[in-house]
Amino acid sequence: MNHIKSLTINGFKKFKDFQINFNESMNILVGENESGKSTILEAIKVVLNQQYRSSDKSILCDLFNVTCVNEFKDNPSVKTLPKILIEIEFNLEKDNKNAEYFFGEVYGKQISQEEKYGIRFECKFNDDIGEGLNEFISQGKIPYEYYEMSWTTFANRPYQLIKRPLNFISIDTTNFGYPSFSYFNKSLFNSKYDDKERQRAKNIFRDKLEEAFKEIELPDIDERRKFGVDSKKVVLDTILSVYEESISLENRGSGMESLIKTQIALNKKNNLDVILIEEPENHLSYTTLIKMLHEISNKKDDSQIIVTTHSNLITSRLNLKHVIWINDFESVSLESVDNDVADFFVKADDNSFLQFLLSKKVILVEGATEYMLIPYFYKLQTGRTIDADEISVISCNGISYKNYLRTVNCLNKKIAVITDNDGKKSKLDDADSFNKDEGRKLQRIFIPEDLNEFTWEVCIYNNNKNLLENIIEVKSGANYKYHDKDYDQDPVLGKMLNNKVDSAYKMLLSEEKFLIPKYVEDAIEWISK
Amino acid sequence: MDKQINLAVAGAGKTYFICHSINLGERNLILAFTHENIHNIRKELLIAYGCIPTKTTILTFDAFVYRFFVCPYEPTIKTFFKCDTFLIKGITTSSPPPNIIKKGGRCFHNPYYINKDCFGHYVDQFGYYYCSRLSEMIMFMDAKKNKILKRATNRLNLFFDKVLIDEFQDFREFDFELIISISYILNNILLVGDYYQHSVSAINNSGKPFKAGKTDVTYADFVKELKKLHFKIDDTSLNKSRRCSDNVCSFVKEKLGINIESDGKNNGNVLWIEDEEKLISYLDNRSLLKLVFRDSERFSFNSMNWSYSKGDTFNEVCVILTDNFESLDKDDFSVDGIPISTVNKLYVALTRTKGNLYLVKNSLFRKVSEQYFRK
Repeated sequence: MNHIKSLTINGFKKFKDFQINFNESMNILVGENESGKSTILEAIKVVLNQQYRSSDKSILCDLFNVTCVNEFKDNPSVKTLPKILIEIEFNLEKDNKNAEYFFGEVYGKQISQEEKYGIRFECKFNDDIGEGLNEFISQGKIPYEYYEMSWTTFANRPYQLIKRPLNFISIDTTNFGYPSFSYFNKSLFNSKYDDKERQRAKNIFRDKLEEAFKEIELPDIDERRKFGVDSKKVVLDTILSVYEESISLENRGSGMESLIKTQIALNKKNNLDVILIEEPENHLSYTTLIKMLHEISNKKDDSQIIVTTHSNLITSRLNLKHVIWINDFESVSLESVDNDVADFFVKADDNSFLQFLLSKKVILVEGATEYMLIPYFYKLQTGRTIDADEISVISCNGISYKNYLRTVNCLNKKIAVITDNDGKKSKLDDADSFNKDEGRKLQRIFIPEDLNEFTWEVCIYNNNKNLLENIIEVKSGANYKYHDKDYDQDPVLGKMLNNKVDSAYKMLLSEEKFLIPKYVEDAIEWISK
Repeated sequence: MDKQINLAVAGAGKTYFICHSINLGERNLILAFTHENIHNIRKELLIAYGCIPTKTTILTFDAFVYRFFVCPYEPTIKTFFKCDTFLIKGITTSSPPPNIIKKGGRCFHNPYYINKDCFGHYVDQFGYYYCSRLSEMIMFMDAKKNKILKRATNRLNLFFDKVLIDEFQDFREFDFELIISISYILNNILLVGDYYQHSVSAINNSGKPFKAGKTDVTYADFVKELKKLHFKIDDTSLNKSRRCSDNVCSFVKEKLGINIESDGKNNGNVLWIEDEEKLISYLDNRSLLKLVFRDSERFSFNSMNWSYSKGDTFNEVCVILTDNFESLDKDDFSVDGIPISTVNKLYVALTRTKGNLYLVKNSLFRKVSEQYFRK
């Protein structure tokens, strides 16, 4: 199947030196804001669509990588001038009409090497036309006007849009308005019909238009002059729009518009090899998004799909294995996540996977009470806020922490798990053997050692009896049971166990200096290092 | 695996044969030496299929070598010649400086000549490849054990099911060697050509495979050499001229010793023009093409050079002979002593007609020629 295999970016926007490999079918690009997800999609468009080809050169100051520009300013010379190189490697069917045009060894280091399919975009200062600018350049100024953009195939032939190696469409939901439509409609028109059919349609349209105008028989302006239709102003592919039940796409709500565009793009009959979808969660209600994800999952093997997103739902539903995590310096694929874990997250889509993935350090906790109190304890213990130390607290909400841990085999991430022993010796043993695993220096399980302290509330209560007596009000004569056990002796603990979140909230409001249970203290100590 | 050579006679329909040897569903690459050939192939494909078949590519040989052997492998070429900083701009048709220059009958070594093992032998100072040395460069690298030829040919196998080469007798020296070398690796190759039309095109008239040292290679030797390679030789499919009549073919066979027969569908006679008055009327006839040995542009009548007429067909033609052929009408005429290239050019000229062939001796033509010189 025709698809994009990899993308290499040097000196473009966010990326000084970046490489990403794509899966043949589904790719979910995730990352913080400004991590460069959109830059990746833009780089693909720059190469394939020859975006900026006819733009004014002043656009370049927005395109150069800031680090490259600064390096030039620190040491200005012709050699250090910023430049952009973007290479896309494809997989093409060798029977494709133009496949040969893209196949050669002119890429990367440009040495004698294996032939590949691809296009190379270069934007650099042209020595020939820019001769004599040395003084200008040595003052740290960039001579934008003397830059040259070139698109060349790996076979060292000029790339022209007409020889487009694969059909691709970009569905951009962040940016609505006329340009996004006209671009979508045009791309669809081009991939749906072949050259011949398009030329025929355009020809007939022009003829009929002129004919129709003649039939109106407008009186002439004067003896020598009359009105006529300028067919250059009415070109068929610029006035096309997609209609469904006689309503044009432009007139549907933004959410519906995304859905319809996606449906059209995914339809196999429209011959699209690659579909770029930017943040599909925008403007979509939960139910519409679920519908869209359903369509995407069903058809993902017909085309290559590259999605950017901030949504846990999308990430989980489209399978964690397809996630490519973009950070400032590299792209990390989660391909090696085990199938059963990935499948688990498809079903358990109400999770915090993205936060888990994107955080530098994580404390995984069982539920809402820990989630509320741990940041407070952290501040008490270290004097710093947990946010300032870039540590996320993630509540597993019933999903076993083991599922989260099994997704990070391929990542270098420091994770502290704070969990209950549930009064079971086996849980202590599990944690012990996990912590002894030499290969897992970055992940550690913290668990109370006393089997009587079977859950969080018990540990908190045992350490802070006096404080809690004042904070948690117990009605006299109230009888608290928890897991069939009476708490007549410790009604405060009984109430805490029965009203976990409320009790935690009251503890927070009290702003008291609680004594932190030992295993939690250890966890905070370990993760903050 | 199919490697075949079809030897043809003039007017047997080489181009027609090539165009009907392709499988429309397959990816074909058709090559020819000149743009004129390319034009004829396109014309024939349009007649045969109404359009150029989408999977069929037609290229001149130079463009072929540049696009398939040079462009995709420039890093290999630059590494081979150790010049990685050099920027390549394209190709040039200008002539590279020759090794030897002749001045006043004496030979001198050209100081501007650059040896074969330097990149400058193949590229001019502005960064353009010499068109005429592309094949030489690839063959040189191949001889030095670089894999470029093998890699590029495997690449051809990847993207083309069949390579067809028209007028292969036009290819000489390194071009010819390149074709033979790649034919060992190519899955399917078909060469079509007419031995007797070699040395007719304006350039590329010397050397291998039609010269061995200083002696000409005869038809029999040529076929023997080809058979030693790995080709199937077919010299029967295209041995009858569809263009020329029995009379014209017999005349060519008898006088030039070239084995050409007619398929007998066209009629026409060989007619000698023997008096001045008649000659003037023929020269003045704008619709009758006169084929002259060279410098056709000097004459005001409708004319073309012998060699330029290669590949063309006319209803009837008038051939103006050179002094070599004063005795062509005599029974004891022999081509012995006449340069082979001249004989081959005459062969081309004589076989352009579908109908009558008019012949004029140079001795007669000279009497009236002056009045037809362009001022």
